[in-house]
Amino acid sequence: MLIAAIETSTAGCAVAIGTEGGVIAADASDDGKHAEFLIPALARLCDASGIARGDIEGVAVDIGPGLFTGLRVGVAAAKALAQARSVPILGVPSLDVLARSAGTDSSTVCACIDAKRGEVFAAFYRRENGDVRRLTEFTPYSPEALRAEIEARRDPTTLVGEGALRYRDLLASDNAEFARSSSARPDAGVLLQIAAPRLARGETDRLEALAPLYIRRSDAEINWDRKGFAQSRAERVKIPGER
Amino acid sequence: LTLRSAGPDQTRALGEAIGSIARLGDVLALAGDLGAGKTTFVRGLARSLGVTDDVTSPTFVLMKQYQGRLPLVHVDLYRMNRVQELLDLGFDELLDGSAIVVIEWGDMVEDLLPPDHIEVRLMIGESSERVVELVPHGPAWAERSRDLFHATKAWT
Repeated sequence: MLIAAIETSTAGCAVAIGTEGGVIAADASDDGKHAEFLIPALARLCDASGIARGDIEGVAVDIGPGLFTGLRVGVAAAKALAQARSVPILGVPSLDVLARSAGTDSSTVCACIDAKRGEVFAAFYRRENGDVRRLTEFTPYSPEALRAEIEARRDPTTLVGEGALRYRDLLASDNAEFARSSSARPDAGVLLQIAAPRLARGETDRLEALAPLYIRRSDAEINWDRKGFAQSRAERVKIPGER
Repeated sequence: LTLRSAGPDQTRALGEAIGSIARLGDVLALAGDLGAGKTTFVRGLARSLGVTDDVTSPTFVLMKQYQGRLPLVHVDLYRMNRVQELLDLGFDELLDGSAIVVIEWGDMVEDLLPPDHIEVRLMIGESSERVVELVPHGPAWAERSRDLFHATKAWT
């Protein structure tokens, strides 16, 4: 089954084309211009590999957690592609992709995406018989809290991802090591390798339900009453052009 | 720091003065009622950052980005009712130090602001007069308080 994989969960952007058997072609960009890079890059990969656009049989997309502006572009593009081609789509979490690419002997892997504002999104994984199983929820941590968590777990742990490298000094502990830096961002080829067998088995996300994973959500209202101008705002806020 | 502006021209010039000491990653939260001069202040700020585009209030588009000597992001919360609407703009990522971010009605979301930011409170006085209170927050602004004082001396 021929799959297109789209990866935009960090400032980088990457695409890959391949099957359950492996990656046929891949490309990546580091400059954060997701919208400009994505679709032309996929077209180039198809052309370079002699693949017609209509041959794509499924779409894999990284749904985060990660960089909001990138995810919005990647998930929208993936959904448009799946809809236009009437092919199945499957979302894969960014940290699952990172954990899979850690390339380590440690039994425990901690995948970290830079969440900005002094935090990382992280999850712990266990490597077993060549498989990587997620042990924890996707959680925002301060570097100090994550280090405490790693130390409390005691297992030798491999940290992978840009989020870990950014806070290298704060995360360093006796039972932690850092994965090689070439795997700092989720790789579109790894994303494809996770998604392709699952898509081939018929596993798919509903197009209309697929959305980026936003870990930081807030149901709080902006408290306009606080300073007593709620009423003047209520009167004005519905009138376009006012103000 | 309590300052006085005699009218829109001085409010704009004050924005310019603060823009002249602004650095990448600075966050300004503007408070003040309608007509107090928030957008006027941002016009001055934008001018000193080398923005040549016309700066208008982003009330209805929620956010505008300008490219000057330094990039400027201008956010307006006025039309927003829920904190999530702000997060949906990618607000967390705007605060990562890659731009100067100015937020109209920013005092409404204090919890989301980084520890280092300046609150600019514009209060309507007699006719076109405005009282402007600058409230620096965080250790970075504590260190830069001299810069701020010197830049705004003309308005004290």
